Amino acid sequence: MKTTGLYKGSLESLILQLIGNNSEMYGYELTQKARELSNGNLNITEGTLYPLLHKLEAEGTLESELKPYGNRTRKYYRLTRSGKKAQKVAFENIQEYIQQLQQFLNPKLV
Amino acid sequence: MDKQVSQEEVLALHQFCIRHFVSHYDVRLELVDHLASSIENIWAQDPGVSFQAALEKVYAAYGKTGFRKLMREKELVIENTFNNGIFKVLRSFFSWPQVVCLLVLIVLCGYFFKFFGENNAYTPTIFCIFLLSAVFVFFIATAIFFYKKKKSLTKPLLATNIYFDHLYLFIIDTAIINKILTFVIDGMHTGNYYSPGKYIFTVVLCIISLLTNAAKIKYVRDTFRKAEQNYPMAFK
Repeated sequence: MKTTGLYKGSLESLILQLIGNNSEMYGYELTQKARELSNGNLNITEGTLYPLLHKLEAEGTLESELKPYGNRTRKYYRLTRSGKKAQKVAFENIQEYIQQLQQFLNPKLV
Repeated sequence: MDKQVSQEEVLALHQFCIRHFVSHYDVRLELVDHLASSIENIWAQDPGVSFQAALEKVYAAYGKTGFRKLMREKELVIENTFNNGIFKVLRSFFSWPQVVCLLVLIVLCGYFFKFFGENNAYTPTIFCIFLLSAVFVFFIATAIFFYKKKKSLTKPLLATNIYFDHLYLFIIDTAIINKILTFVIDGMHTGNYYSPGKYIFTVVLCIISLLTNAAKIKYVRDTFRKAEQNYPMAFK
């Protein structure tokens, strides 16, 4: 089942959820976790992920920290206080969206 | 324990990124970690794969354009961040008491120059030249500030370097200086040194120039402070 296109509009919300649920994450970890949770349907490219992370960081939704890892440096992202609020709002929006989809797809159940 | 990328291989990844037009240190640092993690993921499945073969496989996933899409997207985000940031700083200058005080000052100065302008034709011209000098000095100070900040970097950072390519930021100042000079010269030729329209226009243009330059300095200073904390290796 290919649902890649359906994820696109919710990418920012999904990234916030992932980081919020794991306290802090780095770029590669985010791409792997998204792929794992979506059974391989959500393939976030670097050209999409890093600019989005930078945008969220500039807005003050995320904050980052560089930490040494092995022989290299790794950049970890975590939610700021306003980021946690944004995550909550994003979660509620997705819930509402799912409910509205249910009304379209199966009106008898609602 | 799984096979990890060595120190030499990390350096090779940095060189690889530079060869593929990722010269900015901040972008490179994150990209090198991403490439190294992808290579280690390949090694976790098949430890026999050479570093070079794994890197080629990872890079092939970026398609024909390589890292160019990533760079272009990041540059766009930074440009938008810069423009929004300047606007936010500008907006923070406009609190109600400040705006009211400024308007009162403009009106008082207007009456002052109207009164003196009728008795002494040169007073408004001197005022215009004074404003022009303030705009010019602040414009030069901003340019020197940008230059000094650029010189403090030992490695280019995308988060900071992008501003120096934006010469259009100074177009407002040159247009304002040109407009005020035209007023002064026209006044000298026609003998019409003072008119309320000219006065308001000159003052508004000068305020725009001074505030935008102040916003640019504040925003760039904050960005550099943040960059210095995050990437101390990129500074002298």
